[in-house]
Amino acid sequence: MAASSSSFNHGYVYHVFLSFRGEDTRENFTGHLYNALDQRGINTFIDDEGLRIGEEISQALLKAIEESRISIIIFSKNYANSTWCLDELVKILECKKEKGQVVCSVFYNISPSDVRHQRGSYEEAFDMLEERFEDKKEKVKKWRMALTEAANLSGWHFSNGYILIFFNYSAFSFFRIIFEKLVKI
Amino acid sequence: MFYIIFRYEFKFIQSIVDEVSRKLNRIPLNVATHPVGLQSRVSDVNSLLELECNDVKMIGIYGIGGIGKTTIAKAVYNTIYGQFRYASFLANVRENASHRVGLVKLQERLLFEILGEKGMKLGNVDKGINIIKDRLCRKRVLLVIDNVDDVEQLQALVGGFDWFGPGSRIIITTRDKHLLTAHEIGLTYEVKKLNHIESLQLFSWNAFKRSEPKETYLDISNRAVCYAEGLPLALTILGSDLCGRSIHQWESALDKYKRTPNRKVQDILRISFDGLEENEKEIFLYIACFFKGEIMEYASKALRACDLHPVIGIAVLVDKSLINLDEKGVLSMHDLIQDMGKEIVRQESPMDPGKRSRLWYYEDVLQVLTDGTVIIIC
Repeated sequence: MAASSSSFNHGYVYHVFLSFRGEDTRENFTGHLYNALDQRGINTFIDDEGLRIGEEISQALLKAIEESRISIIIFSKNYANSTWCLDELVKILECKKEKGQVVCSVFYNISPSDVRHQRGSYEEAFDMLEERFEDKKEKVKKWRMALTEAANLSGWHFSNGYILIFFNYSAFSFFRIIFEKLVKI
Repeated sequence: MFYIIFRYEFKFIQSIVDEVSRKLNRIPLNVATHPVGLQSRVSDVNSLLELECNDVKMIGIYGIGGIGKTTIAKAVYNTIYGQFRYASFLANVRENASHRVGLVKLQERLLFEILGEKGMKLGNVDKGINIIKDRLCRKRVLLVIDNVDDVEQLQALVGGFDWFGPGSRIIITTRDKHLLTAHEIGLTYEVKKLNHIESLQLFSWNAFKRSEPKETYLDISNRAVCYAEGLPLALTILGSDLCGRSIHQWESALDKYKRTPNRKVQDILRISFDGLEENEKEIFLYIACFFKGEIMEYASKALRACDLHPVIGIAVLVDKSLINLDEKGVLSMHDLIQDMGKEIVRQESPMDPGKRSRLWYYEDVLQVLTDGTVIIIC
């Protein structure tokens, strides 16, 4: 047996790895989250577009996941459209199982149950994936299972729903109640 | 409208950042540098824990001193603590609980590490018991109570299965198996000695920085390993000691050991002590008697005042694995090694404490001061 201590000791480079769909959230939510983590001195890995060239997920990205203590997965509308995102997710869950990596999910304007059962925009994404990877059914199955597993983990659900409701009613008292609620969160 | 969304999202992000930094504060524990044979033992314990099961489980890890109970408990903790929202590793309970106040302090530490509330004052043990029960009985926690030597400690910290929420896991390490029986802990794991192959591997990592001995040292390594009797602590100390010494020096050290009557672990650890220079010996004894658990800076200052050279001395002792320095700069030392150090000082004059070079036990100090055998020069 090799006497490597990495599996029991620290051996971490990053505190947090962010897995997200760039076109959905890079410019808004994930970007803000990254800045907030960074300001608190939390060493966070956020990929740049350069790492996403070609079909397969890059080794650098896989290594960054292995070297992180915590992974945060930001599920958004088009997360499942990207095979890189899905491969990241599979890798993250592997690290959770093998190294006890802490994994949290954020559901950004998407319902956890859509992710869990691959409905809505995730259903559309998988229709396409199943066509594209017709000869790699196992791979697609793995992605589905990963989504279901991740959606069952502890997570945060963010939705703009309240705000839309408020503007439909546009009553002052309602505004106040909601506003106070929001500020308290 | 933008303002409101922004506020909302801002708060939302803050709550994520808070949670992340809370999780990060639970830093994985430092485990052995050369974890030989650790993987299989950790897997054994993990399968006993049955994490998927929703009952509360307490498991006891027992075995003789230096066998690696704490190391195993730390490694197990590191592999699973991410799956618990609340987790705490209470180290050195035996030492920290030596009096009633100590037990209350331990209860406070337990609550602080799990709930993160600062400045909780419990007052006494019984009150502490009630508060622990009240606050934790609905929480799924992972707790390690390390190195327990009295049932009282278990009663104060993990008194019953109903103290903790469903799915909780409590791991207890101790040298005393009866203590586990007395506390009705049915799930136990006995830490077995390392076999010869594992022993030789661990020894070699320390002595030669590789997994097998150098050719010329093969014979003496095999003999040294036999003396260590599969104890990881002894193997580490012996290996670190051989590193940088000649075969001849070693032959004579082992011969001397062979002649000692009952060959306790302390005697084998003593080989390493005997090979130290005067400066290191003195520093070692000071640390064993006074500075275990103290910040290195503080100890160094005191040692310099005794005309010793702490920088080089401490480095040598760390190399020899006699002491450890953690990432916060705290000096630590295995109990057995500390006992050996104190015993060396005690042997200077077993009957008359006044003639010993160091006194750490208050009754000894009191006796010496009332006898008037010493004059204090201020």
